[in-house]
Amino acid sequence: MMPSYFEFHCPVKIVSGFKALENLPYELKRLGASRPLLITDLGVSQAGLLHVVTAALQDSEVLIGAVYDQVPADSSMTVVQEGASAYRQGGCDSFVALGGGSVIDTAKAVNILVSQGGDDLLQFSGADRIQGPLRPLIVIPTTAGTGSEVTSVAVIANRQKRVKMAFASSHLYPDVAILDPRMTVSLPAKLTAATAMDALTHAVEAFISVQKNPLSDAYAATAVRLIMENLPAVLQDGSRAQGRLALADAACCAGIAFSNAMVGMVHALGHAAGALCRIHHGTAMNIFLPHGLEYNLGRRRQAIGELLLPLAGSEVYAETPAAVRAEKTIETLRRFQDEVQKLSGLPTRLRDADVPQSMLESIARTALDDGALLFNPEDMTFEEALYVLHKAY
Amino acid sequence: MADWVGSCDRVLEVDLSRRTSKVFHISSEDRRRYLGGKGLALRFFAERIRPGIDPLGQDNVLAVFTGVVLASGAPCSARFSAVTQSPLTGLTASSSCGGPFGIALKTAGYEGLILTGRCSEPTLLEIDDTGARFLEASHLWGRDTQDTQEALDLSAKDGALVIGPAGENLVLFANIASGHRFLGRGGFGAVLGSKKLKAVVARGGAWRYLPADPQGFEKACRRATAYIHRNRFTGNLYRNAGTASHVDLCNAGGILPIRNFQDGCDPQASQISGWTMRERFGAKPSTCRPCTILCGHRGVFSDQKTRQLPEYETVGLLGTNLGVFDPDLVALWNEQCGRLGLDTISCGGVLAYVMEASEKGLISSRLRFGSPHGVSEAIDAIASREGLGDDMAQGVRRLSEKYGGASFAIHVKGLELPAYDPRGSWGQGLAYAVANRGGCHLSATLFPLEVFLGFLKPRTPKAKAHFVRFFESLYAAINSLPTCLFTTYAYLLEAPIARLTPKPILAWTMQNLPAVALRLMDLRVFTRLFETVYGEKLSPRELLRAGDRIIVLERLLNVREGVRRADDTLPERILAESRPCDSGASKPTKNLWHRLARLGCPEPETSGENPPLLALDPMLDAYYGLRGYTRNGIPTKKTLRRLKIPLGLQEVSAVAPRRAVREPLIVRVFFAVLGRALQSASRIDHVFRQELAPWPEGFTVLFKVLPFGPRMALRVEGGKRLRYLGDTLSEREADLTIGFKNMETATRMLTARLSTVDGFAQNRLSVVGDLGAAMRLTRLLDRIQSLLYPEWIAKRVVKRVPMIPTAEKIWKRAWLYLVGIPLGV
Repeated sequence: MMPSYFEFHCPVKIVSGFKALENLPYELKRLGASRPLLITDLGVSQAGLLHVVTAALQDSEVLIGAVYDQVPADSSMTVVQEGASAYRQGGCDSFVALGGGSVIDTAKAVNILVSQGGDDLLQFSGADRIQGPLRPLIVIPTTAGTGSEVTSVAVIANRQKRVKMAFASSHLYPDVAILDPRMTVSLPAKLTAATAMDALTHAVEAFISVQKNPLSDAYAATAVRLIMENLPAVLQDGSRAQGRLALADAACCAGIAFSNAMVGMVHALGHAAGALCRIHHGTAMNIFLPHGLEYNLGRRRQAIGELLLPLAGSEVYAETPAAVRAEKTIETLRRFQDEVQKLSGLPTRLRDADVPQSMLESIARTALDDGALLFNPEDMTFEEALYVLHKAY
Repeated sequence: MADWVGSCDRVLEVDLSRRTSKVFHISSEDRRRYLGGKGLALRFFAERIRPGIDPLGQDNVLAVFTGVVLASGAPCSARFSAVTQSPLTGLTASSSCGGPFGIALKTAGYEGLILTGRCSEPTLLEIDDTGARFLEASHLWGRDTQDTQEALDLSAKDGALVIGPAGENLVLFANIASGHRFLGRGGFGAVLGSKKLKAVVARGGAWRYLPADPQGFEKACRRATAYIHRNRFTGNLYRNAGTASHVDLCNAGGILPIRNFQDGCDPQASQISGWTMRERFGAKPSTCRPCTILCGHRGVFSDQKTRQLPEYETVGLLGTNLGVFDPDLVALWNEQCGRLGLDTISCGGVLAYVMEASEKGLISSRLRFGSPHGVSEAIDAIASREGLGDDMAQGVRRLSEKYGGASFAIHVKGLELPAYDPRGSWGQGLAYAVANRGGCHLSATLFPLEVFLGFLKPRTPKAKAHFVRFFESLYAAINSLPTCLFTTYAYLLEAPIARLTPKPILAWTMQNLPAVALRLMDLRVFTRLFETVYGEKLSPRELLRAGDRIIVLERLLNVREGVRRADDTLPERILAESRPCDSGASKPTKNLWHRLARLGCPEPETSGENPPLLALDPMLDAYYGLRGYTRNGIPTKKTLRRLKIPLGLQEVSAVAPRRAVREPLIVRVFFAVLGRALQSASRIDHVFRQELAPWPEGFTVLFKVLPFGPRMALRVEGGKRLRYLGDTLSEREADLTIGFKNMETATRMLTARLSTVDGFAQNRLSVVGDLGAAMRLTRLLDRIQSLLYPEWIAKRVVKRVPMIPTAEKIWKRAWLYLVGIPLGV
């Protein structure tokens, strides 16, 4: 299916592979930066990953202006302000973000503050509120899932107002993303599984969204294939660098796919469940993904059927009659999820993820206001959302 | 002595570099198209100026023109005009003055004087009926404007243009004096200073001018004089209390600038009004000659010295805007500025900026609001360009570029604003924004209509563009006759049609049918004066067309210097801040009559405490449309052809896109339908009520076609209803802006050829603001489309058409189409 019109944009330079990190000084120089603020979290710095980065910078023109390593699992306004003052005190001129989605989002938000001036992040929240280019930002993801390294969005919690503020602007794209297997090799199995399923959901939802287009489809299908081929092996043996790299590349591809084709109801439900029940985003994605496919079966039967090729391989695809490929896709996905659950213990139902049944109604209500729903092929009412949640429980 | 009928049609062109001069004649075609005065000055200036020159270099041209009505003996016929490239704004500047130079020049046998090139040392240019002479002037260099004129040995028939030390030192807002009147704004003094010309003396009296139709002329003069005597402004306020009589009116209307435009009224203002000054110091007429209005006065001040009473602008900018309410001080500073050759408006603007910047710690100086300490010294420092005075001499724009504080740098295109705060007079705001010489109140004055006379509502964009365009053209024409702009009060308002129509009807027509109201304005006093003196027909239509031509030619020159829509703006403070005097403004009562009268004409309402922010964009759109500019503010080729503006200048518009007409019209119609339908549905539909329940009150959604296209705003009001505001709102008030990236997308989406979802999904819309709110809005849009469209259309634009019981659907659809949309309820 060809869309009548689409837009595709990804200005991020991707540097991926063995010893990719050693290119960091070169990339900073290319961007005219010499004094980056290093943003990371305690987990990363305790795992010793910081040393890998500093080692890459030795004997170069680059001086680390300051290190801010206090980013929590979900970042907030105060964290961003602390980061901004660290940047200003350190006399920095750029950013290196080392960590998962939260660290990368924090780096983007700090960048908004220091580039636009002022202390009030609130005035930039929402879409397209940022004027002019920001300071150089290089990201080094340490999880393979969120795709934040190639997206133009940042989400920061506003604790006073108890809401998550979204920032969206084409200026928020990082300049460079460095994917190095050394950065993800120490990730525990359950987290590896959750982040990989997050990436898989990005790819699948992008593949069936209303904004899907030939370019995003190519990225999405590649991401799905890489995850299916490599995740079980990495879960069995976490030290497989080749597999780790493939998962990082998959997450990056999925990120590019969904930031151009957007995601749908699985993310809407997942965001709501995450905000209200503090359930890990990857876990939520894993739980809602098959239900999202079933819900959209009516409108996206063909696209879901096409997913069978990257999901199950060419032989299964060829053997399955076109009419039932969509059902086969969902079945293959469920089986894959069971396998992942066996290997890592990642739950596939809401009840196993400690979500109380009484919360389902408020989750459904919150999900209806989520922007992602706009890009879901099928419309969804409150009652329908509740029905899906009950099924997933 | 010899006699001319009407005018001599002779122009003296002096090349200061080569010390040569020549005389050429004004063609009858030029006369018809540009009339004289400002028009002809601009026409010959435009021919000689190249884009991008240094205004203080030898390539700048200064054209001074008199005109037909000048020296005819008609009321208020001493005004002459000058045009040059302003060093302050870098754009074309024009100015009018009532000093003795005009009549002296014309009776010396020249209607105009054009100065090109530059002298190498201080020079005095003397002009009489035999030609121009260059005299050495180093003995005059450094002397102030009054001393210099005394030293020039001027007889009663002579007149001079002189500069003071400010002009010699190239202060960018230095002026030129003639008698005690000035070519004030835009830095004419610096241009003369850069040409090393201390003074131009016209030895007049050699020629006399007679009207072509003496009886008709006499009759026209009698009528003009009667109107002037009868009018409240010209016959009472200005004659008795000068322009400073505005102080009380502006204070009451909330447009008197206080402390660098931080407020709009002050209880102490009456201490400094024209009436108070008249009482305290006496007021003897001291005016242009000849004059029938007599707005200028002299008085005896507390130190027993006789001085000119300050004009309103001076009182405002050197007084209230500095927080000073002492007329003795203002008169003193006024005299100081006059002697040094400084424009009091720009000078006051600069002082106010420095005071605020000092209070905010951006500049270290001892100038503070409300304190006279250091002001006089600062004025001296500006003129001599010493210390901080050197920066202050560059005007507010350059100061704010150097020291920061752009948000309170009160200027438009580099020219400091006069003393009428546009926040209480939106039409004046538009006039400032589009005025060709920058922030200027004499390009078009709307504040009398909005604030003094109450003909137009001050805080709405409606009808303002019509009046700005009309007054711009009229004033340009009046400056080309030339006569005094103040006669407009008398000649327009005392004409039978305006005098005999009951005021409410007049006001209603002006507000709601501006095109009709302007068509009915009686301009015959102006045209009769021209016709009877010069002996050629001039219809009111031709008069205004000449004005149009002058304004558009001036705009074209500015466009060549890079001026676009983005430059037609107002200071950040004016656009974004509200003032203490605005809060507590009483809310208008909403009785049935008001509601009926408002049917179908939306206007922004006082939301909570503050009045709406000045909505400049809707006025700009309408203004460009009336003027025949593109939406980016460039005159279209069609406009230039229609006005027969010289072809050589068309290079700027070679790349100017044409102005789309059909699609914006379609979009505007559909915006109105959609907006009113949403407003109406929020009152009758339960789904709307449910959906709107969580929306905060006052939340404003703006739909806009990028970049300058039509706009439509909706606001959530009390009771969670939507109010359709049309295109009457400042974009800064929008909490959520849905921008159609181009006109095509807007047309397709509004005519149900592209669904809302696809519009969002395909990135054809730009959303600025909270994404959750955008999501909630799409549900409202889906609902309204299901209500408005039959199912077979709705299916195409909505993901899933909701089930609505047939009876409900029929009555709601009927209500929307028959009542909600047409009546706006």
